[in-house]
Parts: sequence; structure tokens; C-alpha cells
Amino acid sequence: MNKILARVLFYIGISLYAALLVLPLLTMLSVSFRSDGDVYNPSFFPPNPTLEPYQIALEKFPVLRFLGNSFLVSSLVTLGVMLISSCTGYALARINSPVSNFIFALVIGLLLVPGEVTFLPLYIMINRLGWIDSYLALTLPFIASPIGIFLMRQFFKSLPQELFDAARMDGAGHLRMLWHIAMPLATPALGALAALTFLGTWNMYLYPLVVTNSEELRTAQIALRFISSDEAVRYNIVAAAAVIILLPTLVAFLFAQRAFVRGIAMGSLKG
Amino acid sequence: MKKRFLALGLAVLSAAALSLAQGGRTTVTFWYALGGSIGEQIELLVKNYNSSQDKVTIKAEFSGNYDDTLNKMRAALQAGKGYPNVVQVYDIGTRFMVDSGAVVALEDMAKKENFDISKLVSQPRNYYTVDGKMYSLPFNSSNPLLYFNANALNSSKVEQRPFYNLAQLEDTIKRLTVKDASGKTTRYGITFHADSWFIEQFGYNSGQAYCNNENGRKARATETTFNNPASVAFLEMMARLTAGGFAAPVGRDGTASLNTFVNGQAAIYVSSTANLFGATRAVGGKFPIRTSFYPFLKERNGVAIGGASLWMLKGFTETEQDGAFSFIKWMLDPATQGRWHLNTGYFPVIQGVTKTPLVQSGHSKNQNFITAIRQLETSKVNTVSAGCLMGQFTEIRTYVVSAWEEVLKGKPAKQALDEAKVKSDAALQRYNATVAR
Repeated sequence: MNKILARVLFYIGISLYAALLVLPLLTMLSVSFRSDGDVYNPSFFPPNPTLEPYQIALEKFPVLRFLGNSFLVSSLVTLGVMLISSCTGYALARINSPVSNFIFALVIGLLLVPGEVTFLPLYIMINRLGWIDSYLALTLPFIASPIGIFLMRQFFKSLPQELFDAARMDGAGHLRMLWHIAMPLATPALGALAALTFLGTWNMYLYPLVVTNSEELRTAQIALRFISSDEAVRYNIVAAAAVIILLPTLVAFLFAQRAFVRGIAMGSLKG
Repeated sequence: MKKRFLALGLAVLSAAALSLAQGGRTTVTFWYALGGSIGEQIELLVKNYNSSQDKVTIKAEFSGNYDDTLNKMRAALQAGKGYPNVVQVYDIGTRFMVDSGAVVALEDMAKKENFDISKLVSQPRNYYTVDGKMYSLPFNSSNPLLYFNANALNSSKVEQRPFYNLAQLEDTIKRLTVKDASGKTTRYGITFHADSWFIEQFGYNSGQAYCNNENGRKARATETTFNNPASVAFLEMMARLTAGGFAAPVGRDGTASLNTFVNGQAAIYVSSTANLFGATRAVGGKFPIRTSFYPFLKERNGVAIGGASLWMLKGFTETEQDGAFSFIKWMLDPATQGRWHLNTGYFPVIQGVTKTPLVQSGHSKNQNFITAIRQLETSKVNTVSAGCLMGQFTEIRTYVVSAWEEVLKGKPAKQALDEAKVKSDAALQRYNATVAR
């Protein structure tokens, strides 16, 4: 009996907590369906639901273009990270030499450097290369990810040596072993890495803002700032744009939920 | 084969013609920091300017909010290229911009182009004058106002004054407060969110400087002076009103404050003129809005301006600089200023705009527009109402807001402000030490 009671209380507790977390999102959803005069109406549901804010958000601001940019940039970075991380991770895990140990130490070292430290040097480098205001600036600096390399190296290291010995006896070289043996086994790790990278890139704000100038290259997060304002904000339109921008990630999360959770668990190994 | 050559030749020719045509126009980049409905108005301004002449093309680019814009510009300055010709920077970034050494003083450009800057309204001109020189163009300038719910005034039979000293304001707030039989407040007299800008303005309006060396206008400010009698009296009143259930407990949340006002839960709301449009839109037809001047302690001095200004950066060809300045000159045209004023709520910064037919008819439709302009016109012009000029203002504001909140929780106002002053002075001295002179 006590056990059941504890369980019920537990569920009530976490439901309350979940409601707290979801409340701001629901408020945003509710505000996004209100006209200007109803934004500050205290009711939870929109008193006179209207699609007007969505219409304004889509008409006045190129929200879809911003979304498209976010998709393109996030996808390119994710593909790049998967490629570089698996190749480098494989090399560091399966080729034993002082050089690979040294490189691995470098990767670990990079893990300890916070992004804020490299922000300005990275910007200056991109600026000198003349890449400001291009997709190159938005993608290339992020495709070599120390966390990705570390994750893949740890994963490849955990695969039994016998597999690779057998492949070698069949005459396979490193590329073949990577492609036919290691990669198929690494799908869960790769999936987790992809999910985390995609979300991380999607959420970037300051860097994309600083390296782009023209509206055509701006990503979704910047769009939100653009629709909002330091002075005089129309919250219904900001909310509508936020919902439009949130939807794709929300759907992606529902589909890839397991990959996300696994990714976070793997990331925790880093300590 | 021949045809193909011909086509190629034509293509080359037309390309050359195109580049020639473009070569006639100088491109000037302009970073702006306000999105949303004001951003739309900025884009519209630029579009109108570009089609009004055939020499200069302004390329307007949104650069994030005020803080982002400053950061983006600093990074580009550090890299030595990629910064814009013209950039919008908020009021409190003025000292930093001058210290950066990266800007062209507007007054120098004006002299060169024979543009008479004495046509500018003296208050905003005063604010952006540093070391005796006007540096930037007051672009979106605002000042704080008291917003009244007219229905609340009527139902409580309270007469609205054009301006209030602190004692009168406190009395009015108490009379506008409605409490039920159990003593619970059903309508607050005022909703006044904690924002450092309001303390700054209250001090200026009471004749008190915010930092030493006459608000940093006579010489570089080395100390803050916001722990003055005006700020103390103001915060003490806020503490009394909040504890007594006369002022809405909205903390530092400006949105919550507007929310309280719009829903009729508070009779007075305090905000910048820049919010006139937003507040009117949010209230809809629920009640008429009336506006009064910002309060003061005993004797009215005048408020300083807030908002942002446009800066011209160094390091461009003369043609580009001239192009940038012609844009600025165009913005100061009374017709441009009139439209900008009516579409945003910011006040015109050049004299004579209020006399134009467009603005007069706009004002007759919405009397509240006049309040801000009248408040500006009737302000005394001195170093106090010029506003404090110092570095590290953004950080210092956070200390002042914290002090405000501590006072509401029960700390004596003088003590809280003194403590904030110690932190602020340290920040200011740190900033001053980094500025090589």
C-alpha cells in the first residue's frame, strides 16, 4: 500500500514539475494566437483566437528563409562533424603510435578550452580570410569538434580487437575496416553525436550574428531578435515567430528522442 | 559561331554598362540595433533615402540588439575591417564610442559641409556633445512619462496635473489606489518597475547629477553621485508605496508592469515615450491614456534624453564619408523627422518640425505625442539635464537596479545606494584605467 502511495505521490510531483516547465511554452503558444489588444488579457486561452500574428510574422519577416538557413547550416555542420569525428576517432583508437597519443592529448586539451576564449581569434581569422557574410563562415569552423572526436574514439576503442584482426586476415585496410566494420557498429554513437551537434548548431546566436551581415544569411535565432526589439516589442508576433521556429526542432526531438538521451548520457562520460 | 561571339560581346558590354551605372553610386553600410516595428520604420527610412537621390546607396543591416551591436562592432574594429560606415549605439555607450577613437565627430563633418548644427534641439544635442564637440546624430530620442488610465482618474475623482513633485505624486498614487473591505488592493495607484533609467531621470529632473565633474561633462567622470537626496527620497517613497499596497509588486519586469496597467490593475504606468505606440496598441479601446511629465523632488529641472544615436566610423574614403553624412543630413530634414516622429513616438531632434502640417494633424489625433515634446522644450538646458557621461554604464546600471530591489525588501535607501556606489565607482575606475589618454 505504502509503495503505491509513494508511487502516486512521485507521479504527482513530477507532473507538477513538468507542468511548470511546459507552462511558459503554452503561454507562448496562447499569446501567438492573440491580437494586439488581447496580448495582456489574463485568460489562459486566447479570448478571440486569430492567425494574424502568424500572418504578420511570415509577411513582414523572411522567417522561412531564416529557417531554411538554420537547416542548411545545421545539416552541413552535422554531416561534417560526423565525417571528421569518425575518421579521426578511428585513427586515434586503432592506430597505436606516439603521434596518435600526442594528437589525442591535443584533442583532450581542446575540450578544456571554453568557446568564449576562442571567439575573438576565430572571428579575426574568418575576417582576414574574407569569409565574413558567407555560409563558409557559418559552417567550416565547427566541423572539427573535439567532443565528437573524443566520443567516437572512446566508442571505437571499446570494440573488440578480434573483429579488426579478422578483417585484417581477410585483407582489409584501414578504410575498409572503418567503413564496413566500425561504422555500422557505431550507428548509435553517431546518431547521438548527430542529434547533439544539430541542436547545438541550431541554437547558436552570437557567432552567426557577428559573422553575417546580410539578411539572406541570417539564421532562425537571429530572426527572433530581429522580430523582437529592445524598445517597443509586439509579443504576439514574437511568439508566433518563436512557434514557427520551434516546431521543426520539436518534431525532430520527438523522432530522435532516444538519440538525444543517449547522447547526453555519453556526454556525461566526459565528466 | 559568329552569333555566339556577338552574344558574348553584348554580354560583356552590358556588364560593363551595368558596373558603370553602379559605379555612380557609393555604397554606405549602416548597422541598426532595433528590430520589430521600429526596425521596419528604419528600413523604410533607408528605402526612401535610396530612392530620393542617385549618388548614395545605404545598405541597412540589422546587427542584433544594442549590446550585440556594440560587441559586433568591437570585434570588427579589432579585426581592422568589416565594420560599417554608420552604426546605431545606445545613449550610455557614448563615452565608450568617443574613447574608442574609431569615430568621426559629426560636428567636424557638419563644419566641412556647412551644415548648421545649431538647428538641432538643444537637449539631444547637449547629450551627444562630448569634450565640447557634438559627436553623433540623436536618432531615436525619448524621455520618460507618466501614463494615466483616464477611467481610473474619473472614477476616483482625481484631477490630472501636467507635472508632479514627489509629494504630490505620492498623494495622487494613494488616492488612485482602490482597496476592498479587507484591505486588499484591487487596483494599485501605480506600477513602476525597477529600472536604473528612472532613478537617473528622477535625479536629473530634480537638479542632481548622476556622476561627478558635472555629469562627466566638464571632465571625465571618476565617481558616481547617484546616492543623492533625490534618489534616496525616491526609493524611500517606492518602498513605502510597495509595502502599503499602493504600488504593484512588479520587480524589474517592464512587461509585467505594462501588463498590470493594460488590465486596469494599476492607474499609473511609467515608461519611455518610445512605448507610447506599444502601450496604446496593447490597451486597445479599454480606456483612454493620458500622459504627464516625469516627476521631480522639489523643483523641476528637466529630464535627459534616452534612446540611441548614429555614429560615423573612421577609416573610409572621403566619398564614402560624404555619402554617410548626406544620409545623416537627410534624416535631419524636417519632413523626414516628422514622419519618423509620428510613426515611432520618438521626438523630432531638429527645430521647426512640430510646426509642419503633417505633424500638427498627427498631434491633433493623439495629444499624448505633445507631452514628450513639451517636456523636452520646457526642460532647463544644463549639465544636469545633459545626462551623465561615463564608461561602464551598462554594468553600473545593474548595481543601481539591485539597490532598488534591496530597498523594496527593507534595506534603508541611503545604505543601499551607498553600497551600489562603491561597486559602481570600482567599475568606473577600472574602465578609466583602460582608457589611454
